[in-house]
Amino acid sequence: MSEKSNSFRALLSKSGATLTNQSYPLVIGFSQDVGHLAPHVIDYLQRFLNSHLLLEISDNDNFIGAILKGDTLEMIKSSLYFSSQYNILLLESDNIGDNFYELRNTLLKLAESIRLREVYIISAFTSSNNLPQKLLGIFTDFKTQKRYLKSEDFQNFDLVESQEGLMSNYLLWVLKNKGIPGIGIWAILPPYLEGIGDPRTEKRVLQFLNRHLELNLELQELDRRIRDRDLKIAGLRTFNPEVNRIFQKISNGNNLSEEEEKMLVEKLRKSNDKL
Amino acid sequence: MEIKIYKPYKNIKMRRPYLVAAWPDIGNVGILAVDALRIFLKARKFAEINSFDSYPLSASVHHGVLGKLDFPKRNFYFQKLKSRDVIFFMSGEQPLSMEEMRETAKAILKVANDFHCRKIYSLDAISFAIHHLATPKVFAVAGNEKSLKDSENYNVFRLSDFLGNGEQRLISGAGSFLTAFAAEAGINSLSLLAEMPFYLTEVIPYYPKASKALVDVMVDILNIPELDLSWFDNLVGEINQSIEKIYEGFPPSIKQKIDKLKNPSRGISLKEKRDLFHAVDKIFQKSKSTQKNGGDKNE
Repeated sequence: MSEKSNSFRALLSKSGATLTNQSYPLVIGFSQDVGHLAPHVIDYLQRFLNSHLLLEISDNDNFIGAILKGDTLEMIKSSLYFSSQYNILLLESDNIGDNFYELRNTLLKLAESIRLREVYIISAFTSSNNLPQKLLGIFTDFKTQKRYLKSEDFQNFDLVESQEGLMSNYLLWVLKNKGIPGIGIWAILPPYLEGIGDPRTEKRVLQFLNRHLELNLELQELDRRIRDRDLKIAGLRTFNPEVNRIFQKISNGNNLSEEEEKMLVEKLRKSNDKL
Repeated sequence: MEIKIYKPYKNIKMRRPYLVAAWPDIGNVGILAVDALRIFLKARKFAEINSFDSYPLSASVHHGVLGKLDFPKRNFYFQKLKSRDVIFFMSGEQPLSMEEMRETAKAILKVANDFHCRKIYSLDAISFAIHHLATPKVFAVAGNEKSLKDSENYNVFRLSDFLGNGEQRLISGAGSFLTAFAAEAGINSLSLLAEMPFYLTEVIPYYPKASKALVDVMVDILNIPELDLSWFDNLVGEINQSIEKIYEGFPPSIKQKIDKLKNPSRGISLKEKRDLFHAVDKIFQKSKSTQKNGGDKNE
């Protein structure tokens, strides 16, 4: 076992993790996710599961630069959290493609240190087509997929030589080669929510994790955010006929033009900033 | 990183081979040169590096289950020539991380050692202050003095003779790393860098004129006298026409600055180079933005 894996084990043990006869689920999210969906989900889990920061990993040894978060620059890193109450690991990572090596190595070292029961990788995407009501799922293997078929949380889909969600698919591939079950959870947002996020979709992901990991999560905070968002949109629609027309177009399943989308994004962003 | 040598070639004996490597680079100069040599010499693929350590190019999913990932190709080819054999290495992508580069370089050196390679060459481009009508020179930069001295037998130049006073260079890219890495491992290695006009590096994906310059040098090094490069000449001609169209589209002030490069003895200062580069870049950014917005009424 490598030195890094030993240090993982030492940290986990210190945090109250039982390393023998115990397997742990791991939830991974990328900080640069569309609509900040994954970081919001990880943050929610981190707060409500009383998890604490185990360590920060920033050991890529090539010069990439720094990552821009809002208007501030930060070092590129991954943050690993652990909840001893629920025995769950959370990993939030700055994924910029160039640091795929560091992410992969972190995952491999974790897998070396402890038994990973299942890994969930959360990603958000936008689609202007009819939005699926369920989450989209990519499984490492049919056996893992079968376990979730009954719950009907996921909608199956196909991809052919796609670059969409490549980091998530690459990590699933790494897990598959290690024989560790993994699920890529794809949450789809409408494009006009890309900049401000969607608490409704966040709730869908959290409900899934809540059910399958038996977390007893309280989701009232999300319900409140959903209500606030709906109120804002209702207000916008009432006072802006153009916005109302655009939302009606969306409800009818029609695609928006580039100008309509741009206008809606701008209005929603301004409305969101007022919070 | 695992090297897979195909069964029929596991016990192949090669005679004092040279290994010639290339990655995609500016103008895809090096990779086009190696690919052309590979095709002209009908080299056969005999090994590949498995790409577990690379970032994939794409993924396929079938009914919700992860299928195949498409990784960049990193293949070895060989051919037996009259005086010596040659191994070509071609990579589909530049490495994204230092670790990936190191592992790839180690794998290449392993193949070089296993097949008793005498020398490793990497073919690349170097952004330089030359005019697109000029014939690109090929510079040699070596991992050690001996390799550099050997290169004097061929039509190559020393980079130090052409760098301006105080001008230092970071030679970026996998090829130069391989050369330095191989030298540290005690293997003679040389990077051949063909000039590419700096104002075209962000503008065109291929610069076969520079690739041809590399091929000409390698034909000499590998001692291949009867190689028909007319196909290559046709490609150079086609791309030259495109470059001329781009050049004609530049405003007169830009053309004037570019044409100063026709006189190599005059030279061009770093500031002039920077200004010209930014001016050309601005034109292309504006052009991209115009295309996106459906055309500018004032143009």
